[in-house]
Amino acid sequence: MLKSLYIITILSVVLIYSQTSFSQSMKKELGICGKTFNTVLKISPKADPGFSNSFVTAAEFCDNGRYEQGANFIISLYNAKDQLIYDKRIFLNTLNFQEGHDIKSGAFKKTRIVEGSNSRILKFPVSAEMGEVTSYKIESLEAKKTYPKKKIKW
Amino acid sequence: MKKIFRALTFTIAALCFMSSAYAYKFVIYTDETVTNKSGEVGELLKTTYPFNKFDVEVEVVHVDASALGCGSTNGIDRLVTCKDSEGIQAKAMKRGGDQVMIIKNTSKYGGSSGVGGGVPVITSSTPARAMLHEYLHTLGLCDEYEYAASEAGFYCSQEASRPNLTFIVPLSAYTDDSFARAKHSGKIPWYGDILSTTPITGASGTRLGTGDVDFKKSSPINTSQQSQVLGEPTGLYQGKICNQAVPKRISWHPGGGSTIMENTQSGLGAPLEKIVERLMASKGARRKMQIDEPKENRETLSNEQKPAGEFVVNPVPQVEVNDTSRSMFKSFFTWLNDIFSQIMNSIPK
Repeated sequence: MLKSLYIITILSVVLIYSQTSFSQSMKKELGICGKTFNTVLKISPKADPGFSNSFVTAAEFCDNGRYEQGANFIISLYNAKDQLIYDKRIFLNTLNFQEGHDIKSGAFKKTRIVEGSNSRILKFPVSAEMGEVTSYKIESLEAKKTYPKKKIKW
Repeated sequence: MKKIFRALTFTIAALCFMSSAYAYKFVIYTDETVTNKSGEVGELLKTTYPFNKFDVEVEVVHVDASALGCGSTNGIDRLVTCKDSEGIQAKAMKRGGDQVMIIKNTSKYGGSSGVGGGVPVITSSTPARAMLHEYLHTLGLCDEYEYAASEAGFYCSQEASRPNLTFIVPLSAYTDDSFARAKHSGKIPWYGDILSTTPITGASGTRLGTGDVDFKKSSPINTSQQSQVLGEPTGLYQGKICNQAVPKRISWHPGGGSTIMENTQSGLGAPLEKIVERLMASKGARRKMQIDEPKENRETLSNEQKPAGEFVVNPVPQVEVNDTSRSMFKSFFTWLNDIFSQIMNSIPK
């Protein structure tokens, strides 16, 4: 029994880390890895949040950061059949901090905090089973608001 | 035999899980010509705990000043901001970047830094450690110094707790520490880090707080490979960030000393180190193997061959970013594949 457990452990590790076509298709079926969908998430006090500069590369991306701590946004991706294919919880600070320094003492001074336009890079794995990503939906956990689904502009 | 088999299994499993699958890549855009602030920031990310625990890659990209689009902030000449951070992030994505940083070459604004959501900015005349402070804002950490009334009025009116800040109105008295824990644990984001032996009340359990933050006591800068767990216990320490808010709002932090969120000359301190480590891991950065190759071998490697954790200045943008596993099994299968390919190629048609 114990030996079987050891063997399963070894094999599963080999499977996850190996580059054989079998393990790759397994990982893709599990939704852990896939082609890389890159985009910039932009938020602004004046407009709904959205993606810009989106593109997909063939390079494999394995998402180890699907659930960021302290996340304030949930991003959902949909395919051409309007099926939910992936979701991710991310954090993007909604505030702009502008801080002056006293170089000698290292202290901060003349700080200004504003709610402005902010953005960050996002990466998603897109496996063959998911199909083509065509649209997305953003939910703000802080504002407790779900924004209308949008088509991705490539 | 059984013992050897068991040891082998665990060693292989541990090696595989420890090995990197994904280097978290910082791309620093700068227009500096004489100074080397970008190099200093890269070095800080490589050497400061807990960042040095992760597979962190740093690339420095030198661009013209116009490409950065940085200037003074409305009304406050000495604070710098960069307007096209979205465009710069789009360029960084093509290089496989996860996080952009900007260093603006100027002495005009003196010591100035800022962060707009996801892009921290400092000037070349600002201490490199300010970049760490700004980067921690992108992870959600808040300042720990006392805000002026105008900023306190805005910031302290928000309800949300942060990884290193919570607002708790203490009761007039507590029966004991366990009563305080039962009452407030749900409002302390770092409660899981507070040991049962560290009280969250003082004065024989009647007053809330492990103590007040001693801002004269600077947390040491940690460039070792280990957390300063023994140095400073995580607790519930009363801060000063919202002292000037009207009405005054009582704020609490996990550490009892001055941290980098209060002064750039301080370190993170053990409590923030734990928090930042968790945040980095949750963003997908992978812990690296703690086995360093001999230095002379690393220096002979070309930029493409250098492992994650190295930092590279201005390489050609990557056409295709390969984030795939770099574990020993990948190497093994690649090696096996290469051998088969060579054998197949050597057989005449």
